Amino acid sequence: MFVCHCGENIAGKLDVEEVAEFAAGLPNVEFSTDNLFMCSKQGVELLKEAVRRHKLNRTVVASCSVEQHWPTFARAVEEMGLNPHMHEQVNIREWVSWVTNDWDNATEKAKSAVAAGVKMAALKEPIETQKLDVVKKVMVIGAGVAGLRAAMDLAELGIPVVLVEKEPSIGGHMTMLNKTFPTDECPMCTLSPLLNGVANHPDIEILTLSEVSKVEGSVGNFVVEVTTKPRYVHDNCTSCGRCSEVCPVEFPNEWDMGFGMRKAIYKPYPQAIPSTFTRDKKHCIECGLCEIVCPVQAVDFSMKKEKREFNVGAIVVATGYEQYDPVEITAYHYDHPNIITQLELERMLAPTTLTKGKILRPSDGKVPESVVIIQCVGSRNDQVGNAYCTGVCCMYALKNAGIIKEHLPNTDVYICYIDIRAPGLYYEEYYKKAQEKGIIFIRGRPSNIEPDPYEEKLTVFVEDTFTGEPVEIEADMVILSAGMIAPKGFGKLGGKLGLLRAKEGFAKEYHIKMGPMRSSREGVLLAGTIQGPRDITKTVAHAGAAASAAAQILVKGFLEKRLDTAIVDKDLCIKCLACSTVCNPGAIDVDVDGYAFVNDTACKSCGTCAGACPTGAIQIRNFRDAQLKEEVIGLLEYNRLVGAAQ
Amino acid sequence: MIIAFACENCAQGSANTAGVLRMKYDHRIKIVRVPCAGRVGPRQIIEALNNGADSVAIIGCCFGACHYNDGNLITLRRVKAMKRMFEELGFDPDMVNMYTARAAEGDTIVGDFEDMSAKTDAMLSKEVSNE
Repeated sequence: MFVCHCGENIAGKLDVEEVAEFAAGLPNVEFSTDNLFMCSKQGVELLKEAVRRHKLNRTVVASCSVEQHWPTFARAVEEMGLNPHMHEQVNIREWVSWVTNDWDNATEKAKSAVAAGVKMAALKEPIETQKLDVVKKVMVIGAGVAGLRAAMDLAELGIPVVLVEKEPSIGGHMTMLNKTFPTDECPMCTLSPLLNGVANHPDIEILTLSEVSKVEGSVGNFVVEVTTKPRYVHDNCTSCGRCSEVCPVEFPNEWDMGFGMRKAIYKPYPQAIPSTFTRDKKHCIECGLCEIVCPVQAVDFSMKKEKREFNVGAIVVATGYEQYDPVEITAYHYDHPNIITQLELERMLAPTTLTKGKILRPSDGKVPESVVIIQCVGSRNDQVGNAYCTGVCCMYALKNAGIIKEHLPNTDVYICYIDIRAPGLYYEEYYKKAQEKGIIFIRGRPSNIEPDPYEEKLTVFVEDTFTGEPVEIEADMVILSAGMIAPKGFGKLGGKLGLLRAKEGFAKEYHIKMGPMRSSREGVLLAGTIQGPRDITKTVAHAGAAASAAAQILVKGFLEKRLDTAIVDKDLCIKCLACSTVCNPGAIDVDVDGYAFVNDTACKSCGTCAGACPTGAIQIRNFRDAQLKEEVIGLLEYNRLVGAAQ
Repeated sequence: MIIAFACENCAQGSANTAGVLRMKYDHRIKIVRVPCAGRVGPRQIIEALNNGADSVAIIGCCFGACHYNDGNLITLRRVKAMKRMFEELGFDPDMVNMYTARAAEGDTIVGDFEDMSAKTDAMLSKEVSNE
């Protein structure tokens, strides 16, 4: 029994020596002392020396929280040849000295805590750790920039990766962009080395048009079922494009946000990977021309949906974001052809689309004389339920405003903003540069946009909050900086993976500061915007962190699992299986005789089964009914004795 | 005496945070570590009361944020059943209460503790007046 002073933290609030003396008188206590700092090297040596000299088989240290220094002392007793779980930590700092005003009360409370700790220590049982084999393979869901980065980083560590993407090509939103801030680089130029690297990496298997349909198992050993939709074109496609030439069906390309056209057999964009064409069954009229013209007979209408099972050790979720749909805000009339979102503008600026990269008014192709950019559409807006700031809209609005000004120097470009948020290196500088380009900044959120019923003009109503004057701006085009939201289908996938979600719909991280790449479930990591809106720089960094967290689980080849799991006493078990109905990880099965049976690998030691058991047959090691009872008695008995004496 | 079963995640985290912030609360509250609020069943509650506790509290994570998915909700159901049982037996249902806390915010658990002491005091004074 060791009582720590923790400098003045404990000794300044209660009588440490009295507590140590009291502990010496408790049953089973062989040795009791107090020390200035138990966690110091001298303190740990003192503990080891006492274990050696008095042949102690259990130790109790009354100091700080279990989280803080249980591992320190457990390691020390392990070095002395004992099971680390023979050490019991009593918290008399956070739970006693720091929260109690009165000297006597604090001392009494510490004494009862110590009494409980000693009682508990006497009943502690050794816990073994089991080495569980892990499958050295990772599944990355989503092949946007985050998924690609995570897949590449893992593959470079020698860990095979299965990359699952629901679209026909990999690359995600980044491939749709025209330029990236703050360097105005071409995103395809920066991304394509990674795209090609992933596509050609021997350790990466890419599954496009695929979605996760079932997830079973736990960390180190997941079984994931992936459903692949048919592409109707075999891999021997040479991407010659003859099928697309003869296809009679033509309609707006989703990837181009409607600013380009595609056929029913198509490739979303020229550099798309994999370069195999895709037949869109929904729009196809089944004329069969593509089958006839294909020189390698790659087109095959008989392909079927496929289901495959993968055994993986960890899962990285990188499903990205969706652009907020501004239709919800009726005052902004998003259905008007001349009101577009930033992502649509990015596509309009691309040279492969209908406008050939020129900025033209969508309704009639006239060069706009005045363009208004509206910030915070669908973010920082409680009315639509998104209170958060997307954090990238200011930057891309500055970028696109600058590009418009470069293309059309005589056009007036307005940005209506609430605040310009440009934190970080080179971002504020980028804002300064945009100001010098002659963009007109108006601080105020527009109340509404009034489309002219006879002409193509639009009028934007906004209050300039600097002058307090209402302003009316005549505009040819309005661009809405729509925020990022969690992808709509994520609820289903999140449910399959067993992830907690934040109220905004994004996946909840393990800890906002210390574990932003971990999810609420062990072995499932988060990469990129699925955890919250962020820009490409942060997404890539986040994906790298997720990859290294996934690798941490797998590189050793085994997991150490503490077997402080549930255990069933068959003599008491009445086969009611109340335990299995409350077990969340689904760790309780039925054995051949009908008794409950615990799968140690899946058990998370929460103990909900023990609370549900009517007979007390199922117990959690080191939190058994008997142990908790002794601890409670320890806490109460001392006070009862004192109370009786008074 | 009040026995507070605190779950390993949010409740103990919150109690530690409260300590770090040097918040003060009733010294009669004794914390017992459990892995999850779900670990606490009727046996633990009855045993604590039998051994001289005036009331028992169970503190878990916020509903919907249990680290084991829904252990706190399962225990909430148990606590409600226990309260009904106490009422039928002629005891005060406030002898057992379920609370939640947030690890990052020490004041959440201190709020729970204050409520516990208030309820316990009210219960004890009622008992005295009944006698």
